Amino acid sequence: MTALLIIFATAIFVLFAGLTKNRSWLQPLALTGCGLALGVTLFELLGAGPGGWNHMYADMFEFTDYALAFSAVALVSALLIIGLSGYGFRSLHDTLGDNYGLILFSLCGALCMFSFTNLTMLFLGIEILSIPLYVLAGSRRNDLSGNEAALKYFLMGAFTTGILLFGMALVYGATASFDIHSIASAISDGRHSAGMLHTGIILILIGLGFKVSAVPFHFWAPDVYTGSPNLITAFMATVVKTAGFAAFYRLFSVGFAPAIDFWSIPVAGMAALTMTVANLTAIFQTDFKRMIAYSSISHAGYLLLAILACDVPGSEGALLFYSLTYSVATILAFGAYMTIAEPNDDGSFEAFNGMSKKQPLLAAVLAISMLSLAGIPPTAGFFGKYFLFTAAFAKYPWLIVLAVINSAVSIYYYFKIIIAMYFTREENDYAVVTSPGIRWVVVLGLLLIAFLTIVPGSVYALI
Amino acid sequence: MTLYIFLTLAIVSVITALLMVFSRNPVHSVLFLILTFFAIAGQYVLLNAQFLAVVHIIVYAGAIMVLFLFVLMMLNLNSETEPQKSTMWKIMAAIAAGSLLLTLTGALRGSVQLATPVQSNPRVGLVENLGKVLFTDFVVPFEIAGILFLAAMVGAVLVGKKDLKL
Amino acid sequence: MSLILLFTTALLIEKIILISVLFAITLGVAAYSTYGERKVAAFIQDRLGPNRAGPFGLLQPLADGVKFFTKEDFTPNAAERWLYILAPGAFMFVACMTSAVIPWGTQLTIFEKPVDLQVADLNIGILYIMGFVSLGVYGIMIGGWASNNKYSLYGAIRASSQMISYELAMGLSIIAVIMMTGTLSLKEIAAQQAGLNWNIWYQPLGFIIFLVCALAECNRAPFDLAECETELVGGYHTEYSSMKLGFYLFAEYINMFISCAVIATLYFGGYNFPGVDPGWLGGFMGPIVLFAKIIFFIFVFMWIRWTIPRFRYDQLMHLGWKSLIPLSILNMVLTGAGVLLFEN
Repeated sequence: MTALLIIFATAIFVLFAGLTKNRSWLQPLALTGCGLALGVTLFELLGAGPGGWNHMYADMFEFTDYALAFSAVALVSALLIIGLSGYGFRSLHDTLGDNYGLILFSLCGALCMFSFTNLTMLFLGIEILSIPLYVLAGSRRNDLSGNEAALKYFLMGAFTTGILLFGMALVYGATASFDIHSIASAISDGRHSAGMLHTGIILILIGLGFKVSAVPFHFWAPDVYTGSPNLITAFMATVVKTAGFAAFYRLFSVGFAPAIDFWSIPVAGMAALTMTVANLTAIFQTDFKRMIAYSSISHAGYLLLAILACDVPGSEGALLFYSLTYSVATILAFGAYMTIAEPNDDGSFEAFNGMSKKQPLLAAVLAISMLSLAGIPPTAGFFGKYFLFTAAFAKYPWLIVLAVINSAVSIYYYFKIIIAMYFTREENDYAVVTSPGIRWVVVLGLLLIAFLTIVPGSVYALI
Repeated sequence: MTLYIFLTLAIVSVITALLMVFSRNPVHSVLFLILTFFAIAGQYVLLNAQFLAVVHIIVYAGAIMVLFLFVLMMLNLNSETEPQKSTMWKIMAAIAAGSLLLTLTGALRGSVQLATPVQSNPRVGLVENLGKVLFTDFVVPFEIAGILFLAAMVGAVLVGKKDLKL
Repeated sequence: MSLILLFTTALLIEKIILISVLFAITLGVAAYSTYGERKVAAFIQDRLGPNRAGPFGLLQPLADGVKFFTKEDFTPNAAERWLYILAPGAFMFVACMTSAVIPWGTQLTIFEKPVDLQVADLNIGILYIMGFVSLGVYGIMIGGWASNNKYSLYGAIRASSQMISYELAMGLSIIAVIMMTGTLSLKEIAAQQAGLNWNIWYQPLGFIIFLVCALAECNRAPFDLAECETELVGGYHTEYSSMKLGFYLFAEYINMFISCAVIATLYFGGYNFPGVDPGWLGGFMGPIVLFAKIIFFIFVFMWIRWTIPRFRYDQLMHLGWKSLIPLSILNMVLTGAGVLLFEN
């Protein structure tokens, strides 16, 4: 809650600061806010506990270690993304403050989604997360694909919200409660109406499936990811995905845990489909952002394994570790991509040709993040996959086999980038523009990945 | 008596909703949607939620739909500009939606409704009780909704604003 | 069982009589407002006004009515026929519906039987009025659009954006009253203002905002840009003729009457007057007092119309969004502080 309040206050400050003539301190202001919130969250997580916030206000939220740890992940991602924003927002002038404000508002929504105990809070969190993004996705007003992205995201998001809300209403009708603990006890006591409950769970599953872009509800994702500004795509691929999965896991592992036999079948199907379809489609992409979009869908497939294994101890830690490594690697990849694609207006794989000679640091970072996303040992991504797969292996061996095969497939398209950077002879004359902000973010991200690689257990065992 | 009123309102809302979907002219669609909102507001009154009913009218029929009409009239959208979908698409959409309807009906058939707070206290929908609940149990969601509206407002302004160099 | 049936039937008959009387009064006042408008205009412009039909021209509204009914009822070829016919009716219907929650007095005793002087005591009365006010815009929008005439469309769009904009400030100024009185029921709001304990003393700013918004909601000068004849021929009813036009004009006067009734009830004590017990004359004193107040405010509306020139459209929007809404929020904050200070 403290983090939420800090972020909200920062957002308001940034909005007002955006009215002044000097806009150079907007980014430091936003960074300070996020850093402060991260510091407080880590302090609460590692030592002090959440203070007096728990069990206040009719138990609308619960700041468990789970909520705090995921808040920290989202805040780390946000910090890195805002660090990149000096470059990503360089063409904005008058609306800069509004853009920072919206990113921070969206982050507020994510923070609500980690700690909810009441479905109303979940719903509000999802809405606060999504609505600023609908606007941000289309913030390049003269860009046709940006407009398409914004409209698609908005229409799909609105439609899904309807389905999600319908599901919540049915769950309320079946269990007479919005509180996830009461829902769980109503389900296990049998004080519920089975048909209504199951329909509600399926509808919520569809709604959340859209939000985390799981197959077959993923159609919006590639277009939206490609059309949005790079910085916003990075935000969508990391913070939104983390928030979506954390909320998904919390709702299904607490609220719907007694009905696991019912919902595990569709979720398992969704996971299998998501991994396979996304990886197979990603092979044929020629555009980096589209490839990353499909890669993000495929990671949604792996993350669904954590939800399937939610009754296995350690699945929480696996989800946390995976989200963190995935987020950091994706943001690093976007940082490197922005410097090459934006000035040259070319997002294809060929744009990366010979980058290892022009920008050895960025090329190395991009290579490491690709290796981590692919899950090649000994990178952090490997440990993420390892934790996730071991958690789910006992219950779904066939799914894990499929997941391993898919990971092998994914190496193919992640390596395309590395090959382009290091082993391609034909070079282009593209300029690579970096900024101090990007270099800082890249170094920080690298340190983080190194830390996760060396002591993966420290994060995994956090919750 | 209540049952008959309920049935009338239900039938009216379904028919107007269908007319809204099937109208060629977008302006007609909006007008039918307004009628649907009225029928739904009537349902709220039946549930003794007068406040919700009247707010539903003020917000949806009185404000949002006016803006819809506004945009439709400004853009001069009419039945000629309406894109024509091929029959194939229509049939496929009808089959898909029909299966969804069938599945939902099948799944919900025979389910019993549990005692919700509305049934134990029929006065819960009145504005006094609603206010009390909103400012005690649901005060956090209420305040958090403030963030949502602020974000939506900033977003709306951003959409309408030109990015000027100062 | 039969007793209950008898009781409900009696109640039903009572309400039907009340509704009919109220309807007749509303229409009568609206009709004579047209006469009053011309007389006031004439007085302000130093003319005589209508004086041919009957003594002092008192039969003029009747003559106007006959004229409206007997004129050619013309429908343009390109008009959207059904909506074109529906629109004036919808406008009139919405205007008439609003009067249901106005409390005309405490109680009337007829043949030893107490009769409530309010058609429906909804516990959300004021929101009911807001709801119907917000629906009023449809009659104008549909009419303007269905005429298939660009001037009508301009008029309709002007009217609707104006009404939506001013509804906000109106609602916010009403909230201040509700915060003070603690109820949404107009009956209770009126009852709380016994004697001279009128809300106007506590809500002067709110009253001014409400008055301005009421003028705008009724499309009255200086906010009558929707039918600004120098720019838009006749505004949203350019294409209308005969009694359809009559409906539009008539409904505007009904709206004015209801607005004045709401102003009197919310801010000027409703049926209360110091030294006058609303129960006198068998309960008829309340309605008489309220009626006098309404007539006074109708006069104020006309007075404003014939003295203040019309706004420009951007000025109108600036006034609504940049002055009235902040002012009404300020009023709300002040009221909240006042309620906290004096009631605890």
